[in-house]
Amino acid sequence: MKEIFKKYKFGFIAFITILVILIAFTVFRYIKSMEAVNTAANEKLLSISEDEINDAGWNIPEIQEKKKEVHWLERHLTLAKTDSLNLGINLTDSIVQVQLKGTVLFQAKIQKQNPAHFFDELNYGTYLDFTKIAKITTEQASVPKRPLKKIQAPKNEEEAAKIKHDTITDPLLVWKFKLDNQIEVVITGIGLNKDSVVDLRYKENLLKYNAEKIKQKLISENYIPTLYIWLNDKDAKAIYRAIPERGKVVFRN
Amino acid sequence: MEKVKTILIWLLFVVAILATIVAFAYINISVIPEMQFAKYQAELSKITNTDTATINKEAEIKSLDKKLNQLNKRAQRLTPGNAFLIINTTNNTFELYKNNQIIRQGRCSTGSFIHLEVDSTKSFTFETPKGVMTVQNKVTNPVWTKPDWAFIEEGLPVPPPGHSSRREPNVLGDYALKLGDGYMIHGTLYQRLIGSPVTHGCVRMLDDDLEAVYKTLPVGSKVFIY
Repeated sequence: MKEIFKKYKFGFIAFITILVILIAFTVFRYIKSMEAVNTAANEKLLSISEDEINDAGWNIPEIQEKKKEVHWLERHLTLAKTDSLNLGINLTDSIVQVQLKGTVLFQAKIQKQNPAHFFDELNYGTYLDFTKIAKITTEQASVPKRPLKKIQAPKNEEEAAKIKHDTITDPLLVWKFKLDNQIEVVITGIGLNKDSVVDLRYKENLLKYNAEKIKQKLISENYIPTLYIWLNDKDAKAIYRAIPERGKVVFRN
Repeated sequence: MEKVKTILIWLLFVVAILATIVAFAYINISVIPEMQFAKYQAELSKITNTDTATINKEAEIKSLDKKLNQLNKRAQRLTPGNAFLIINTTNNTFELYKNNQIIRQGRCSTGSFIHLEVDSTKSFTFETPKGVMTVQNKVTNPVWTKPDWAFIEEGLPVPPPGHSSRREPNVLGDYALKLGDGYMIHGTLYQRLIGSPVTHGCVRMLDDDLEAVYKTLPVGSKVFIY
């Protein structure tokens, strides 16, 4: 045994050094990540009144369900007063919908969601905060909102005949947006593979999004919970293009 | 033999190091974010007072039922009771509703999103506006009054307003429903293009669909476009 260690000393040292560095880094990152969570949670809880946090009826499942439905409807009625298309994310029924003036124009089934249980165990105060009408503050997407194609006006009939109207296939949608109630949502379109079978790359997408976040900031001091949703790409694009910039979003869970 | 064994052991070290890196990368990329969310959710679910004795359950449920009933009635009143049309400009589809039931659905064509630049001061964007519009007028055998862009995109000189060359019959199908600001729902000679974004902002439909929409939607009906 001693002989083996002696012979492969460099190998053992390299392995142990890398292991120690990785453990140290991961522990440090874990502590910092949890500190960020505590700070974000404390900030959120401080902004909510004690009475709302401790609402007595909320602990009774029957009352909780009815209160959730009341708030969902109340938010819709408020949104119906505006002239803008808005987004409803109903995690209870796994549906994303576009509404205008109180009329549901489009509904898409959520094919996959992560975390699987997104804020389904909140106290009453934080539930109210989570389900209040939120505004999109920043957003980015893999396809343009308005797919404008610039064309110079032809000078004569000959030039007009030469203009080609190519149809370019858009890539799958990845739509990331942050809301003013400190929630991030990532909507990913699911395409079809070569055999026209639904090609859900759930784990691959998730790892990619998380890796991107770490790449942007190795140790983040802020925490924003992120809801990942996978929709049929056609549905996802229809919703994305329907919702205006800085559009309004309402959740139900 | 000894040489092969040495190589294999060194290879084992490399594999072990790579596997460790992958495992820790996975912990950082996947496990820590999951733990963060679980912790955050747990913090937000905490309550400081668990006393539920102060609430009259039956009375509370009754009051909530009453409220729900009222809210549901108000919400139902918001959806047009009669006929209305919903246009999806991304997928170029439509749904025709009557008494809250879909009575017809299919393909249509909406704006091409072409931005036609004439010069630095003049341009046209062929986009179907999103929002809610109202059927303002219905006509049979509509005649198209060609706007300026129809000549510009063909590379033709723009005639003065009211000029006879602007009037073009038999290109909009048998019916047209006017939505205001020059936007219409109408038919087309190019039926094979229905389902693609090819219009200048109007909504084009197949002949049968157009007839159904024309006959179902009275003047004043809502047309929701998203």
